[in-house]
Amino acid sequence: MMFVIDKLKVKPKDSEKIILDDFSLKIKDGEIHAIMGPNGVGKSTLSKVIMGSNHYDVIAGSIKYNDKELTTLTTDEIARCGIYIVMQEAPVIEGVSNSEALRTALRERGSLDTNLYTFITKMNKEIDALGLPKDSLHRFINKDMSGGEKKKNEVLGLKILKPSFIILDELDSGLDVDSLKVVANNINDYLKENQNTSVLIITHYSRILDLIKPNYVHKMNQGKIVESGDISLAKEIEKSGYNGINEMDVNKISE
Amino acid sequence: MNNIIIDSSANYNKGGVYKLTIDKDINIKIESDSLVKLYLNILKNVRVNINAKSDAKIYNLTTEGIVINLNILDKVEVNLYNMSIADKEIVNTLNIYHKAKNSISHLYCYGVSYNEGNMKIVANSYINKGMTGVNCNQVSRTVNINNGTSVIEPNLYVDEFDSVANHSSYTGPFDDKYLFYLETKGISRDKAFNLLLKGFMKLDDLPKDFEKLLDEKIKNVIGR
Repeated sequence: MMFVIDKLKVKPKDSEKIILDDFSLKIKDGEIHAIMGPNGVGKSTLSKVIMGSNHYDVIAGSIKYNDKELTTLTTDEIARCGIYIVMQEAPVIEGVSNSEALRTALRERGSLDTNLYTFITKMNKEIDALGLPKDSLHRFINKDMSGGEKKKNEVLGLKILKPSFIILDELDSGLDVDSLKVVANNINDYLKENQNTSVLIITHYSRILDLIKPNYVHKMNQGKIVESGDISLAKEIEKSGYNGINEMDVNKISE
Repeated sequence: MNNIIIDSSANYNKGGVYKLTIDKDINIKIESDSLVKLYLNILKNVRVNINAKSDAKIYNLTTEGIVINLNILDKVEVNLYNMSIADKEIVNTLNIYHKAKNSISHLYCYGVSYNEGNMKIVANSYINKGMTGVNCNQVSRTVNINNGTSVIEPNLYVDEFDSVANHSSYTGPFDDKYLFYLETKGISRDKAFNLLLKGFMKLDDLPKDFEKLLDEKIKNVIGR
């Protein structure tokens, strides 16, 4: 069982600019990989492309999960393969409650426990574990939630839907230190209980990697991985930046 | 829930929740010492005149062309929620007249036009000279499905400087980011669309039987 991206080349639907170019990555069951890079190198695009966003064209290459080609599947089919994304900015959806969405998602997977009481008990347990407001079960998705609560709400979905491959897209953005710890602890608990689950962490900063410890760290630039290593690579990046990737072009600014 | 109808008029002088099914022109008076919540199910092309002297929340569900005239006669706050579903040509005209200083209105017009639907929402709010301190708000949203079309005409007629008037309106499909989000949870596009549609039309908390009525009407859209 493995998640494999092979020589992926991607552009946005409305532009000819190549965002991911010759991008390759292999993640085995139970492994945690982190991709680090400055703004604009294609990190978040990668997460959206994995989830089958129709805003991008895959020009070449493949994404396979357990030998199943994902680039030909729809977003919901990809999710039902066991892939879950904790979005960087999850939207507020008025009129659709957490409970309604997650019950529909479970029903679509064919794994809805018909006993409503069991579902509610499970939801309430996870809501408490995440320190979310008590009424989160019936609250509209992300409605009246702070940045931190939105992230916790995403992790609530994760714990209910039980994915086998998790993408954490800038998990630490909008989270204070305490909330980040709660979220990371909940994800670590989930990983302890589900040891074959793999994780792809997409981040600017290494602080999240102190809490969810990766087996491998990859540095990304211009749409591809340019360097791989262990946690020491993240520390090096934290210390010395992205080796010029993030430096501004003084000539361009003065133009 | 109670229906108190005398000929073509209905009076509400006690706070509480009321439901009214309407198939002819009607005059409604609201004058109570506490909040009146009024749920209207309008079945035919009719004119509804409402005189409000106390705080009220009025919910209207219709598939027909209607005219609602809401006169706010005291320093009170009235919310009018209009939910329309159209598979034919209909016009919903909502007129809000601020006839008291410092009165507040919130008008929400939400509609779905599907199949051969051709929906027009005309939202008019009037603040005449001398009506100081009035606060008047309009929010209108319509979603078009299949060949359905819709037009929103929001109008604010303001002749008083010392007043506040706001409006926003939007016609179009559901934002793709909402569909994508639900799909990333493993929900198919059709089911995600249905969730959004139901959520879109459920303005505020609705009583169970009124919500059921709305669900029945939405089912026709979903089963399109």
